[in-house]
Amino acid sequence: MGVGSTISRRDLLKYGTATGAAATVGAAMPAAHAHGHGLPRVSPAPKPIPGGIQIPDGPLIHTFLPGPEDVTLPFTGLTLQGLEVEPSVITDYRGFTALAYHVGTATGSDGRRYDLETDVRAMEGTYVAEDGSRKRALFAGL
Amino acid sequence: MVELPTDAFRVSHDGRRATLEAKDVCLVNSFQFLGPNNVAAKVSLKVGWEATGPAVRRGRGDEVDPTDPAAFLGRIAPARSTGSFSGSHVGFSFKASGDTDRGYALLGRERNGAFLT
Repeated sequence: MGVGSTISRRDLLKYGTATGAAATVGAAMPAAHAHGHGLPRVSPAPKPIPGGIQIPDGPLIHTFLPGPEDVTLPFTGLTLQGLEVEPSVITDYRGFTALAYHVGTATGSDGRRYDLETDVRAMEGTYVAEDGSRKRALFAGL
Repeated sequence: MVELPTDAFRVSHDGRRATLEAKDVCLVNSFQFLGPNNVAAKVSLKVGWEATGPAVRRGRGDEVDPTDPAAFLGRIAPARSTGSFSGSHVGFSFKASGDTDRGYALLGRERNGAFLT
């Protein structure tokens, strides 16, 4: 999720980030890195999809951008890659996936208005973890 | 990417609607700018999806290389999504809302990797 220039995927990509909204999993992401509803989650880490977007002279970002190729997101300038494109960022996975690139506005605590662009992904289902165990969990890219 | 309680994501029986709701999710945004940076952030969000078209078979499964974007199989529907968000990090907070009218959304069932065989 990006708000203005403070947390934008454009900046993350521009500066060769290793993580971002739904950008990486696995080695770059401890599975219990975050928690919601006040409850820590401790499932074994999933594995990232093998493919992804290669940043020129930078890392491979283990995510694709599914969606019609005639859609270019207004603030990051990212063009979607087509409909036959993997929406999940984890591999050895079977489940229900939802993805949304929202465009909108944000109001900051400084009183200013910012552009908002998101890449929100939810992946709920069964996966084979890095340790080889088969688990069921919900992962979200925010 | 974060793990959330499974009840944070609700999908209708027909798979054509879904909601993701989470409060005070702790994130670490990592980025490279004049060296490595890690910024703690806390985000709350409520996102809804509603399918706008039929679910269609997508992906080519193991017919393609595992690194190929089509290395999955699924039944995916286009959708419209709306979201409301709030968050804070390093002394800055925000509230935001958006929709996918100028973006895109999808939802559906899929499998990849070891689950293709």
